Parts: sequence; C-alpha cells; structure tokens
Amino acid sequence: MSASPSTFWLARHELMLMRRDVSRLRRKVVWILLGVFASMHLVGLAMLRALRRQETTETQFTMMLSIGLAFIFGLMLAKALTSAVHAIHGRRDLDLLFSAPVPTHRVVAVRMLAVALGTALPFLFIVAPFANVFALMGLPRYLAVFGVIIAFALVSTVIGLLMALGLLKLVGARRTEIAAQIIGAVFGAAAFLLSQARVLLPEQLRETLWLALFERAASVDKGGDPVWMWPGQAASADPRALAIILGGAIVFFALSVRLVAPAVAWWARASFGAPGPIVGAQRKRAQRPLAFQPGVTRALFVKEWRLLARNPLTVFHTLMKSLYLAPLVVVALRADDPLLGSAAVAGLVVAIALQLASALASNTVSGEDARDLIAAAPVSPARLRLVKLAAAMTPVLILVALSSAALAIVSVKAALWTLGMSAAAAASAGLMELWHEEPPSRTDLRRRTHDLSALTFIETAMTLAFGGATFFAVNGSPLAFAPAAIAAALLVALAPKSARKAAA
Amino acid sequence: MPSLALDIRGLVKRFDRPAVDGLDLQVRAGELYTLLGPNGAGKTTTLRMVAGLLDPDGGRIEVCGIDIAADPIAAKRVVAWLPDEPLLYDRLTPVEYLQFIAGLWSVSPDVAATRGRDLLGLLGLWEHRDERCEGFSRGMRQKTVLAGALLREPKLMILDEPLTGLDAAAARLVKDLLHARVADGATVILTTHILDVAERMADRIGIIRAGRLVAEGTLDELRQRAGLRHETLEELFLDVVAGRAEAA
Repeated sequence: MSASPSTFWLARHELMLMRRDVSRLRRKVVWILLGVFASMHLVGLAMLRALRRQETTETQFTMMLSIGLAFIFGLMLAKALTSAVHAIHGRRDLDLLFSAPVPTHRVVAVRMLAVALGTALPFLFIVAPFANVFALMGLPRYLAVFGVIIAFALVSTVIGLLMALGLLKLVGARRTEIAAQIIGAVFGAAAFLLSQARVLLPEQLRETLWLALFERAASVDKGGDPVWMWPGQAASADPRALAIILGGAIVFFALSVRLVAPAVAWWARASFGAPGPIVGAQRKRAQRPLAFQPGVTRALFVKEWRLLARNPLTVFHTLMKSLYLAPLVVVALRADDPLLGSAAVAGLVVAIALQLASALASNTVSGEDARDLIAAAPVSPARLRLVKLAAAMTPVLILVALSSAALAIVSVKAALWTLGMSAAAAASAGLMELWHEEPPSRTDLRRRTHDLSALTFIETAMTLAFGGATFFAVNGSPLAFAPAAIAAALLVALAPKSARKAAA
Repeated sequence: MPSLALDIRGLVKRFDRPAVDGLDLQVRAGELYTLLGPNGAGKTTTLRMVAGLLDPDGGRIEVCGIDIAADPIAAKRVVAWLPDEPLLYDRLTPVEYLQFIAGLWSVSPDVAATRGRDLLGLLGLWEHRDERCEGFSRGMRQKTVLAGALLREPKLMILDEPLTGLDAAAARLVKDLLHARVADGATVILTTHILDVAERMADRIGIIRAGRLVAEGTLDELRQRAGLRHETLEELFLDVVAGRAEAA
C-alpha cells in the first residue's frame, strides 16, 4: 500500500492553485502593477534621502520601523481573518482532502501555510521597493524586513484562524463569512485611524507623546531593550531579535496548527453545504398586498436599490468609509487657512466618492446574480448598463451633494471643485467596473475575481490621484495636473481596445 | 400566428472546436419538443443562442417569425429561458422577484397582480411570498423561477434540465404546468437526460450529436426509422448517439 501524500506534495498542490490564480491576471494589469512597483522605488529613495537629511538616528529609525510594522501587522490580521474563514468555509475542497488518507493536521497545516503566504505577498510587494532601495544604497541589512513580514504573516494567520473558529462557534457557519469581513474592515479602519493619530490628537498630547518617544530612544541608546522595538530591530537584521521573531513565529505556527487542526476539520465538515442566512423567514412581518408598478427603468432601479440596501457588507463598508473622513475633518477644523482645510476636505470627499462608487457599481454591475435573466430580457444591454450604473451612483450623488453644500459655506470654489471632480472620479470608477465586467462568460468572471486584488491597488492609486488633484486644484496650484495626469493615464491603460478606438 | 415557433437554419457556433455545426431545427407552434443528446453535444449552446445569450457564428434563428439577429428585443419579448441553475436573487422575496420580472417584460400591473397571486398559490409559494429566497430549497427556487417565466405568458418556453433536483411532487407539478402551457397554445422546448420524461412528455423528440441534429420525430417515427428493433427510447438514443442507428 502506498504512503499518504507528504506535506510537500500537498503544498505543491496549493502552490499550483495559487499560481493558476496569478496566471489568470490580465497582462495589462500585470504591467500596471510592475509599473507601480518600479515607481515605488523612487518613493523609497525619496524617503531614504529625507531620513538622511533630517539626521535621523538609528534608534529613532528603528522605533519608526517598529511602529510601521505594527501598523502592517494590524492590516495583516484583517486579511488573515477573512482568508482563514474562506479557507475553512469558502473552499469546498477541504471535504475532499479530509476524505483522503492524509492526516488532518497535515491538510490544515498546508492550507494555513497557503493563507500565510497569501497574507504576506501583498505586504512583501509594498515593502520590497523600500528594502531594495536601502540595500542598493549600502544598507543591505534592511532586507531582513522580509523575514519579519513572513513571521508576522505566520502569527496573524494563527490569530486569524483562532478568531475564525471563535466566530464559527459564536455566530455559526452561515454568518461567519460576513462577520469576518466586518471585523476585517474594522481592523483596517482602526489601523488607518491609528496611522492618523498625529493629525487626530490634540497638539499638546502629540508633543508629549513625541517627547516620550525621544526619551525612550535615549534610554534605548543607554542600554534599554523594550519588547515593542524587537520587530524594528529584527528588520534591521539584529540577529537576536530576528531569531526570536522568526523562530518564535515558526514554532507558534507549527504548535497552534497541530493543536487546532481537529477543530478546523470539524468546522469544515459542519459548514459544508450550509445555506445562506434565512433572513426573511426569521423576520415575521405583516404580509403586504401584491402590488405591481409599470416601467422597466423603475423595476431595475427598485431591484438594484433593494439588493444594495440588503447587502450588509456594502452598507457596512459605506459606513466605514465615512470614518476615513475623520482625520481631514480634524485638519480642516484646525487649519489657520480656511482654504487649506476646505481643500483637504474636498480631496477627501472626492476620494470617498470614488471608493463608494466603485463598491456600489461592483455590486450592481459585476455582482449581478441572475446574469442570464437580465441578458434574456427585452431591454437593450446599453440601457441595462446605464440604469445599473445610475442606481449605483445615486447614493454617491447624495453624499457628494450634501458634502458640497456644507463646503460651500466655507468656500464656494472648494464646493464646485468637489462636485466636478467627484463626478469625474465616480464616472471613472463606473467605467473601470464596466470594462472589467465584460465579457460575462463564466471563465472571464473567474478571471475577474482574480484580477480584483490587482485592481484594488490600481483603484487605490486612482483614489489618491483624484483626491490629490482636487486638493491642489482648490489651492490653485498647478501641481494638480500631475495627479490628474496619473489618473487619466491609469484609466486609459485600463480601457479595452474598443473604448480607446471609440475615444480616438 | 406563424406555424413555426422556432426555425433554425445552418446554425454554427465554435469555441475551441465547433459546438454547433450547421444545425437545422424546426419546432412547430403549440408542441412540446424535447432535445436530447450526450454531454457536450451542443444542446445548451443552441438554446442559449435562441434565448439571445450567445451570438451565433453563422446561420439564422427565427422565433415566432422574428429574426433574432434583426430584432433581438422583440424576440426576447416572446421567449422565456429557464436554465438548469435557477436565475434568482437571494436577497429578494418571491413577490419582489415577480415585480422585477413584470417590470422587465412590461407586464401590466393589474395582469401581473392577478397572475402573480394565482401562480404563487398554484406553486405552493404563497405562504413564503415575503421571505427572502436565500433560505429556499432547490425545488422552491425552481418554482419561483417558473412563476417568473409563466407570469409573462411567453410564446416559447425553453427549459434546460427543468426537473434536476426536484422531488416527485414538484416534478409532477412542473410537468403539469408545461402541459397546460402547451394546451394554451404556447411552445415548450426542453432538454433532459431523463429519457422517461422525454418519452412521456414530448410531442416530438430531437437527438443532437456533435452539434448536428441526427434524429427527429415522434417516438413511434423514430422507432420505425430505426427499424423497430428498439423497445425503449433509451436503447434507441444510445444507438443513435453511438452512430449505430440513423433515424433522421
């Protein structure tokens, strides 16, 4: 009788699946990502020069690095949680693997290693240009940051896995995926707000904290060794810190997976085939009379709004996005120059408009549940797309109109720029959604799903570009042309050939 | 009313290889036609082209006298397409789903309200009319989709594997409703792998192989052309798809 497949064999299977996902990325998206990756090296170079100009001491830099890595760890936790839930609940092949003659802990270990790799990759992508620049400029020891990222990915995967199991026990298999995404979004927002602490905190408290940090740096220089600085030290290739963090993470991962493997297997089996939440059935309400209204456009609008309103994740993400307003609202309130404050708020409103438009358009266009039903309806595809986009853009329009009205009290100029740039940003988000929605065959839909993470990067770049362009435009600065050109270039790069031909 | 509900001439569709290869198929108005064929024979691809979901690479399709290439919107008005996976919105209730369908196909509100009430009652969905479909069983989902199709009283109903996953009672109900539609003058085309269903329900049967129609007629006609040596449709079907009998 042959032996059961080894961990290596299983890992190769997982890697093959991951490689297939990557190979499904459109070539254009890969080129854009490579372009972003290359240009991030320039940001790294600028950062290194600034650090040298400010004569930042090594201890101060290690502290900054530790704080930055803590921020990354928060984001990693968010990603690891959703990935761990998907690994247990979302991918149905666990049932097949558990029915095979392979030890359970081996299957779980390999699956969790895949989660850890998936968690680490985006952050390695972000950190690599900075580490490369540091290495090229004579500081190769900072390449050790890759080890810290991998260690963090292992630890966050275990924490994500434990949280996923806790959620499964608390809310059951049906609601765990939604709950995990909500918690993930909260982590993301919390990490963002923490990163903005410098802006949010009152000046006095800020100065006190800064002073405390410098005092702590001085005490470290005198021989102190605070634990919270170990990640920064490890990233600077301090052998003891690196050994503790990387070695500790590997041991923690191996032991934890071994201990929780039976629970993972049990929940994977229990959640197999669990249907979605029965919301309507549980909410007994007075049954309404059967009423029908005429009109194709009306029917489409009502259907899209109903589905948007009943998608808890969209509603939640929309609410969370308004949290991102906080730092700039604080800036606006504190600024001595009212125009500067208004410009910051205008830029932020435009950025939120793009993000929100993208999320809602994704729901109405790509999230269409009954694609064939819509395609078989006696309505032209162009009208369908237009109504779907209009339904998605209505909430954005309301948000932008309210924000612009409030801004107009301080600066009419800022309000007008907000209206115009928000319209352009929302339209760009809508176009990106339409271009990556077609053609609607099953194969392309699957590919689109794998394009999504890459598109998220591009969408973030577009958000920053539109927000930055608005900020500079309100201030009357010619610098506005640079981010506007970046946004336009990204849009043109993403456009399908047919759209470029039509525009020409 | 044209005598042909569906008239297909020289239909061609290629993916990596030809999926439909010069297919000619005519279905008369008011008949229940069953399209049989092994997996990958081109049944679903053909029906998706009739429903306007795929563009043919060649040939011509007319639905109730309407050329679907010339006037796709008019053709879609008279066709109802029900694939094997129910086209449903989990977060809508059956009533909201019917409201959406009525709006899309421009069914007048009064007619839709009366038909909707009758259909929900007939299909056993009345008690569940304000519950979201996400918790529905496959049978309930299939029945909701069927209600949506029947609400607009299509002249041509195309059903791909309509009885998959249904229990005996639900399957019986679906069959009765399809017969009732045919009795009212509509045309029903269905594909199935359950040959007993084809044998009992169909007015005429077509067998498709490698994208071409290789046999067609009533069960008796098919048997006669094949030399009367087949006891059941299953035996005949297996011989035809294997190329041992040419009954066309």
